[in-house]
Amino acid sequence: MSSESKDEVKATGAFPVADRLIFLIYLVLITIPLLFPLGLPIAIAPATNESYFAIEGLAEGSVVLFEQDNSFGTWAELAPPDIAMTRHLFKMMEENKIRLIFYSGSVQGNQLSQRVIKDYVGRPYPFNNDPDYGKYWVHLGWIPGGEPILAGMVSNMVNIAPIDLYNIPTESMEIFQYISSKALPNDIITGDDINLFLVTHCTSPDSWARQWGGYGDPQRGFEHGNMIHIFSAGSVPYAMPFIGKGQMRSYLGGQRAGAEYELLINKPGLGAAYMDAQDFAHLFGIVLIVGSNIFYLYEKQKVTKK
Amino acid sequence: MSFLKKTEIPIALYLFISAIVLVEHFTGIGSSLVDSFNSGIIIVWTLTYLIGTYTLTRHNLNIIQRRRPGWYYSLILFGSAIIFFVLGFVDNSKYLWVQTNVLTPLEGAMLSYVGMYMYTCMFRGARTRSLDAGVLLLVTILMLFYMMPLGPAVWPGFETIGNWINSVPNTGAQRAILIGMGLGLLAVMVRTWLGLEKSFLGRS
Repeated sequence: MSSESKDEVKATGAFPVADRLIFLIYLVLITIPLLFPLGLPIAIAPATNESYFAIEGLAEGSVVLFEQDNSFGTWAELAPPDIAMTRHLFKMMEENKIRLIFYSGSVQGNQLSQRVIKDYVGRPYPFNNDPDYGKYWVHLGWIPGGEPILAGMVSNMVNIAPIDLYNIPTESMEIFQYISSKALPNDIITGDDINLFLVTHCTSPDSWARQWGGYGDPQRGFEHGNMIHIFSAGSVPYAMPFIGKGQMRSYLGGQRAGAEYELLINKPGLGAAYMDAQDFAHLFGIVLIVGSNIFYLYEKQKVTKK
Repeated sequence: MSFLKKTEIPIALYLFISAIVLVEHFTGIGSSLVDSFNSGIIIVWTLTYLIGTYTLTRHNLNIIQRRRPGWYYSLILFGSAIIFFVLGFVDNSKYLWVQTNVLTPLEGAMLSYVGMYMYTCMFRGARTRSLDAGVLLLVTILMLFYMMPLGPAVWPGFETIGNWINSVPNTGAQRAILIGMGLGLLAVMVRTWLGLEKSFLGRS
């Protein structure tokens, strides 16, 4: 930056006064409900209900593949639904003996996936100290490679993940032996052996829709697309074509979906805590749009009269 | 020119692998070979992280050594990276503490920073200058009511309207974009096969 423009910034300030006032009001509006929760009502969206019942309806011995690709930047938005769903899955594991396979396609996702299971679900850490580890659930760690890995996971899972997070060969693990014993026509674990696909990510869902969208759960009448995504609320429009065609079953869109899911599993947490602030932030946005338009039309009318 | 720098080698490699993957996808022939490629991708992908680390180190060390403008930022970046890297091997609990209490809030703050500008945009840019702009603003307001937790709780109509906007006009537009993207990808693939697309080789 040249010295001339530096002086200009010093003279005028980085932002106009109106912008600074907007930032200040916004900060106050989201801080107050965080410090003094109001308990405003939360409506449960149909997509959240569908996601909840997709897990609640898992039959005994079902296999769930969960790719957790959260990131530090999107932790605030994706952690509530991710934590709530992971808690629900472990509860189903204990009740219905469903099998859970976790992994991540990103470095940050791997760290955060372990944080969710260790700090929020409360499984023993290191995970191989958990008596259920290796028998009912496993964490495969970070598997880099992008979309080819998604294709590989549903064509030959053990080939893509020969070892788990703790370098234990997956073929020797009870959970993989259970799944491959059910795998037909041979012992290779493919997408047909997975009853439900879950993904947490902060991008567009099309990679997963392409690679996993053709696998369903014939046990429960789903011919294809038994896949639930957890992503930010802004990604919901990108998912709608896949939901419409059945390549994706449902989704949890951001903090609000997380809060709804927490209410459904009766464990209010981070999501529910943020909802009052989100209400205020949205209302403030609406007030800004309406207010600025009223002001604009009034100014326009004044000019027209002159 | 060195044999390894010839353009034809990476193009031939790309053609060979992509042809095998395509044939396997449509016919099922060569699935074990494709499985080997998928395993190999894990190794290649991991190597890119090593290359990235080397490039970052070289770039920042260069700036620090030559005292280029902003060299102290490079020192902070490089120093933090080294400390965080070493902590991961030496003390896992401190590594997790830094990750949870420093890295996560900082990255969250950087991402949330964008949201602040949206509010100034709503104040300055969201003006009903034409019929199209008016429709857009009306949809924006309805979607804001749909997305907030209180909206559908106060009036269920917001849920109905929001779902319709997402499922009908939005889905149509997104499908068109996806089809365009798919056709574009096909075109890029054919161009790469023919050697016309060389951007992935670092050439224009």
